[in-house]
Amino acid sequence: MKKIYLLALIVTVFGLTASAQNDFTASTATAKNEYKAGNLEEARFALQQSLAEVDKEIGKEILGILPKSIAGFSFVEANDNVSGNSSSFGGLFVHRDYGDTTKSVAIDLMDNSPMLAGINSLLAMPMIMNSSDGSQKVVKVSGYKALLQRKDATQAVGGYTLQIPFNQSLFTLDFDGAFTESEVTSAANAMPISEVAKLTY
Amino acid sequence: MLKLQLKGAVALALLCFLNYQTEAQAILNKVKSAAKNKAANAIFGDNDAPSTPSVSEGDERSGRPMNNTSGGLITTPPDVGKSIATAESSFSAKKYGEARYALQQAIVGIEMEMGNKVMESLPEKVAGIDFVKESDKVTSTGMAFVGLTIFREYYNDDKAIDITVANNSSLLMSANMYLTNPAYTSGQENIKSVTVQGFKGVLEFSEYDGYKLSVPLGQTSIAIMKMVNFADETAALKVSDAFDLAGIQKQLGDKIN
Repeated sequence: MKKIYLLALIVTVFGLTASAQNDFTASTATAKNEYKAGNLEEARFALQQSLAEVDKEIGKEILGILPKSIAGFSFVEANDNVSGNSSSFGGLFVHRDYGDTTKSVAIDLMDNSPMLAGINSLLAMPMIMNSSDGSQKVVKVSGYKALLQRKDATQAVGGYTLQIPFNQSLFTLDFDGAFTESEVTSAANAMPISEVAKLTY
Repeated sequence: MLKLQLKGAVALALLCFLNYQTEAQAILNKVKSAAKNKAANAIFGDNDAPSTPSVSEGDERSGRPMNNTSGGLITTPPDVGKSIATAESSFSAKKYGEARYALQQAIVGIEMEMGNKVMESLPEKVAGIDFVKESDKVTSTGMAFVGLTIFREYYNDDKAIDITVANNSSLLMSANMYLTNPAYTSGQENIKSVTVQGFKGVLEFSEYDGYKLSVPLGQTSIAIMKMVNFADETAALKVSDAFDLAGIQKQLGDKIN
């Protein structure tokens, strides 16, 4: 019985990998043909499809190195999501959820994100960003500057959002529930940010 | 006798002073002349000047040379065929970061070709005003939300026109927002909806910038024309007729309906 499961798993993994390879190969071949024929817009569209396939592969590698649990919560495998957007507003998108209905953590990675410019300019002004009501401040996570925001400033313990920009990417950790700031930062520091940055570079 | 000696001493002192003044004047003239020559060389160039780098006038203390011999950047677009080949081999080797970069370079190469073709199709003279060749600019980043832009301008002492064609650009969003939401245009006295060459567009007026006409050319392209010092709306809209909007749309491969 175990052998059958193993065989099914191998076939599935191989099938998915082969499918990605086929999609990439097909769209790249289309791009070459259209370019030779002088159909520039068609060639570009086909290359954007190829780019989306590459992004998906990068996304799968990122999901592979993200931890299986955060702050004692296991990840929800069914919610794992990777997409390579070939059109406007964002290329690679990776999503993973941890936790349950009372406390949860969501990880989102957006690559080629137009939101990056805003975050980066805010991080360059830490005096402005460290608000007096304690709702937001600039912190360092694994050596990267990050913007930490408390969702409800009136509560001592609540949800947090941590945004870490690097390269052309925005890595966001969204903590929902009764988390403390130290729990948030220690969980964030357990993230393989540097490895993710290398994969998206 | 004493008076005579005194007069002689005064005369000698005066002579020395005059001589000193003459020498000082000569030195001053030499400095002035050198400065004039240096300034003239800086402005008009000097073929006989030595080839050593000049020193910044305002930064003589550090002696840091000004950049005046570098050749600039190579503006040849990336080779599309080579970039695609690199992407294929990198993808096969599971080097996804390199594959992505190569694909982006290929897209830049294609977009630069598209942009240059659009640029060639733009008129060289609009409303009797010649284009400024040095200002022609085609830009592509290979990134989706920045996209491809083509810029050309025309101006004389009195009037100015420029056109920016953007493809796959976030610039398209604001114009589409106005067009899909009529309340935006009807409620503002400086913005109105217009139809130009069969395309729906948005015409804006600002006292300082003149007229600005934004015309979406399909799903992902837009043409933005600015007209400065044109008498009225009719004159400004007439300028836009000089640009073949349907032709630009076709070259960018966009569809409206």
